Amino acid sequence: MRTRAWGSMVTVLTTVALGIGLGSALAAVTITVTGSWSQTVGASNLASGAGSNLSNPVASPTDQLSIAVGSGSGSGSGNSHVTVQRVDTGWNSNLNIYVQMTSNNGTVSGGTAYLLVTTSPQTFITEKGNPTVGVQVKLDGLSLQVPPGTYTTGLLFTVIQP
Amino acid sequence: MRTFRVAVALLALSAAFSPQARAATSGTANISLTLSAINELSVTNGAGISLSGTAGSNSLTGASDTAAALNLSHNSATALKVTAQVASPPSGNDITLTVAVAGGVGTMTLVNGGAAQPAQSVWTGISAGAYSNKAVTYGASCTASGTPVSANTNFTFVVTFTSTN
Repeated sequence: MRTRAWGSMVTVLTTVALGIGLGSALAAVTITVTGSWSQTVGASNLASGAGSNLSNPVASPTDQLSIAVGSGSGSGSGNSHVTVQRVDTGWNSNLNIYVQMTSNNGTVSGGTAYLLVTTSPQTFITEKGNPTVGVQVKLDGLSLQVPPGTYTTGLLFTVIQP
Repeated sequence: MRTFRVAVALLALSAAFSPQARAATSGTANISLTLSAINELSVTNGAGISLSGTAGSNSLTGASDTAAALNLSHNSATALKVTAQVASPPSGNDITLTVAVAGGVGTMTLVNGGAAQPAQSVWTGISAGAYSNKAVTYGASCTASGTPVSANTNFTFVVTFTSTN
């Protein structure tokens, strides 16, 4: 940086470390989500036949989905957390969807109670050591007031390093 | 003596000293729910009507039957209606049979003097939902001359209820 002072020229060269060396390289954590869930609800789901409404909730089998947190250099030095949110492609606002962890093979906290999934990301689990987590899905809000049709959404799981 | 000042801007390059930058990756699981069209109707049996008259009168009447109940569940976006019909009434009588559904259109005649009538709308404008134990009231009458019997005789009417658009 150069400065000019009154009556004299002063050159100040400041070398600024631009942080070219940022210390350790970025750790490339990855997440692999496998599985999906399709559910059909009809007359057999009426609570007690004609004159009754649809039973709630309906749930997938346990471990219907699988979330595998992969490792990169520097992983395992702290707890990552996984968020979940809904990305609707054709959903009905009367329907509620929940996720719950039903198995894991690592160091995981959270996820043991059903979490209502919204369109905003929420922390689902906190993990360390790159576990694979099984997830169960639950739906409620089913009623005869929801018109017939197919409703779809995506559950977006994102892993965020510490 | 001259003095001069040098202003040196020092930039705090926090980037050089910042913590390791965050990385995040994502994956998606697809969820699909199919709601099928639902239209479920059931009607329980009535208890029966006994017709009798007074001496010198040809008209035979009896107390209405209120034992039957209708149950309906549907999720159609358009309102449904319920119709009732006796397709094949028993022969050898001039019985007039009527029916009414609670909250419906009122009393409708299903059999008139022994003759079957076309399907009658008994409840209309039914929006999606569950309806249970809607009272069904049957009425009947005949004449002694038109319904000759040598002993107590049962005439059984099969009423078909249909929920439809």
